[in-house]
Amino acid sequence: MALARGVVCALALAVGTIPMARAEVQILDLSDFSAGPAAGALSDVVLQDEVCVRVTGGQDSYRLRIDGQDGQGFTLTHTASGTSLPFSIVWDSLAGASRARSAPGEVGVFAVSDDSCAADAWRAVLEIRIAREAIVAGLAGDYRGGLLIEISSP
Amino acid sequence: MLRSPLLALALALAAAPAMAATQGDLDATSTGTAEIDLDVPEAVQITDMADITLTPAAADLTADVGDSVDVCVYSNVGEDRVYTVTASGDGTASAFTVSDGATTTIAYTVEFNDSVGGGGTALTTTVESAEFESDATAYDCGGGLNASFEVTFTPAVLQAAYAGSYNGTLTLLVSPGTP
Repeated sequence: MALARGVVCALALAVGTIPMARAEVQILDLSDFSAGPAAGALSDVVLQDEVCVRVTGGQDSYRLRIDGQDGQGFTLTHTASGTSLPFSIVWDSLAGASRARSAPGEVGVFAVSDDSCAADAWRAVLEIRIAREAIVAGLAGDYRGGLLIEISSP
Repeated sequence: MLRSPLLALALALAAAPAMAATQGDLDATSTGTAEIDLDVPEAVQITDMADITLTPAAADLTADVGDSVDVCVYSNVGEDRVYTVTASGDGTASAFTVSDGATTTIAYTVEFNDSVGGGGTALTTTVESAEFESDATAYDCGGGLNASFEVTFTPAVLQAAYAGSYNGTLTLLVSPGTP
């Protein structure tokens, strides 16, 4: 009986030292967005960027949060006047889920796609949408802004 | 002319927007950034133009005869949304005249106002006006009107003209102002 207890104890210790694969994530292939619509054809501006999401440790999903740069909402700032222009974002996981957001915060948990872009990494699409009405209501000139895209384990 | 390719490259780099996306690191949480740059072009538009038909009675020829048209002018130029107007008639040398289709013409004057109701600034044919301001934040002025033009025939030119039907075309060219 004493021998049997010792075996169980030894097994438990062995299990406790098995190295676990650390779950890590990475966002890659981000690009800047730039647009200069023509005056005669002002319409909705839609800009897309194919990004790459790496998930390791056997994960098949990730959590996504998108914020405006410098703590701003989803707005672009007119460099001359300081007036703002709103925009919205759409995240398409390319795995059957697409979510739109018009304010910063968590976008959701997404499954990885089957479109590989690197080792343990899969494609997704980030889209920026600026409504025609907002552009027309704004002023001519240069608007700037930015996004922080955060990926984490679900 | 640029003196050297190096100078041209330096100028090009200086003019380029300072943008640079950053990639995330492999970690428990990974954060990347992307810049957004939108360059909105200058745009102006005049709509709600309408024809003017004047049928004065004989007794009316002792006073000015004219009418105004309220229009919508959109501009996105500068915080005051400024624009200019250049008017031209279809008479000789773009004169503001109406014609009987033969040899007789009658001169008229044109005024433009950046509010409704007519009156405003007298325009000279083919001469760009001083700047006007628009309050429109939509191409259609939100369904309203915010400017007007007015044509006027003086008693002197009316009394000097033969009876009959005269017509002409007035063109208003709206251009971006200086922000």
